[in-house]
Amino acid sequence: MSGSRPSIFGDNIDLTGFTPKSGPEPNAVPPEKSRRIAEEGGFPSRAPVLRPPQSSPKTGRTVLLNARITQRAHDRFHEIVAAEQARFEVGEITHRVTLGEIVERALQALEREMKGQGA
Amino acid sequence: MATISFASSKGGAGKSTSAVLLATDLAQHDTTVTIIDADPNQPVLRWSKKPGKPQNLTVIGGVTEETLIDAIDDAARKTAFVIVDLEGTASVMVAHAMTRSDLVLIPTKGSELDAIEAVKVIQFIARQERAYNRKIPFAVLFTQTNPAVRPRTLKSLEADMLKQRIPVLGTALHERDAYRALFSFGGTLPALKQDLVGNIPAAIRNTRDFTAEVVAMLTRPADGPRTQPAREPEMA
Repeated sequence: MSGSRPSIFGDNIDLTGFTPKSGPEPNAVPPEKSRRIAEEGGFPSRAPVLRPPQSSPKTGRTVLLNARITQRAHDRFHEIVAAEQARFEVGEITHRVTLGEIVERALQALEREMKGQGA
Repeated sequence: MATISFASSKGGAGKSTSAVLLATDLAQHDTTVTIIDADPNQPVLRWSKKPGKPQNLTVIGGVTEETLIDAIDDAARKTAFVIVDLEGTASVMVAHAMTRSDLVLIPTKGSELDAIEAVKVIQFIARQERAYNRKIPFAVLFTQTNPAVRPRTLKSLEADMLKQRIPVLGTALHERDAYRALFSFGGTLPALKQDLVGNIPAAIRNTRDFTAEVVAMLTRPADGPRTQPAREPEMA
C-alpha cells in the first residue's frame, strides 16, 4: 500500500492549454487609471517619496545674544523686523529677514555713524 | 497563459508560502512558471537563492510600483504561468497586479481579524470590477488550518462568506512543518528529506489539491459559478 493517498482531484493536472502570451494585452488597464482607482479605494502608493534635501540657508548666525533693553527699544526693534518682512512678502526684497540680520545691520549702521563722528 | 496574484492587506496570511507551493507544483507538470516577488521583504527571492529551485521556474524580485505591470506583461510573454506575490498591505501594487490577473487568491487565516482584512481586499476587487467593467475572478484561501480539526470560528467564517457569495477554495492549506521547511532548505516539497521534515506526503497531497483546484478555477468559464462548498478537512 502506498504511504500517500492520491489527491481527490487526481495527480495528473492537464496544463496543455496554458502557454505564454503571444501578443499585447487586449484592453489592458493603463497604469495611470489603475493608480487613480487604487488611491480612491484606499490602496495608496507606498513608494518612498524622494524629496530634495531641505537645508536652511547657512548664515553662520549660531551665537545667542541676550540683552536687557527697554520695552520701547524692544517694540521698535520688532517693528523694524516686521517692516522688513513685509517688504519680502510684497517682493521688494528677495529673502526673508531674520532678527539676527537686523542686529547685524544695526551694528553696521552704528559703525558707520561712529566712523562719521571720528572723521 | 494565466496570471495569479496572491493579495492580502495583512502580513503573515500565507501569501508567499502559497505562491511558492503553487509555483513549484505547477513546475513539476512540464510547464513554465514565473514568480514575481513584489513584497519588499523578498521572501520568495530568498527561497529561490537556496538550492533546488526547478529550472523551469523563474523568480523576479526588486519590482516597484512603476515596474510591476511591465514585469507581469514581460513574464506573461515568456512563461505559461505568472504568479505575483504581493506585499501584505493595501497599496497601488495590489491594484496594478489585479489589472493583469486571471485569478486573485486571498489567503487568510481562520480568525475573524484576518477575515476582516480579506474582506477589505474583496471590497476593493468589487470596486475595480465596477471601474473596469470586467470580472476579476477571485477566491479566499484559508491557510494555516489544522488538518484534523476545523474550529467553529473557521466554519462560521466559511459559512458567512458563502452566504455573501464570496468564493472560497475547498482546499485549505494546512499548518505543515514541510511548508516552513521549504523556506529553510529551499527547493520543492518532494525534494525535502524525510528524516528532517515530518509528513511530507501529506503536504504534497494538500498542495496538489490546492493546485488542481486553482487550475480548475482558471479553466472554468468566466460566467460560471463563483462559489463552491468548502469540503470537510482531510484527516492527518
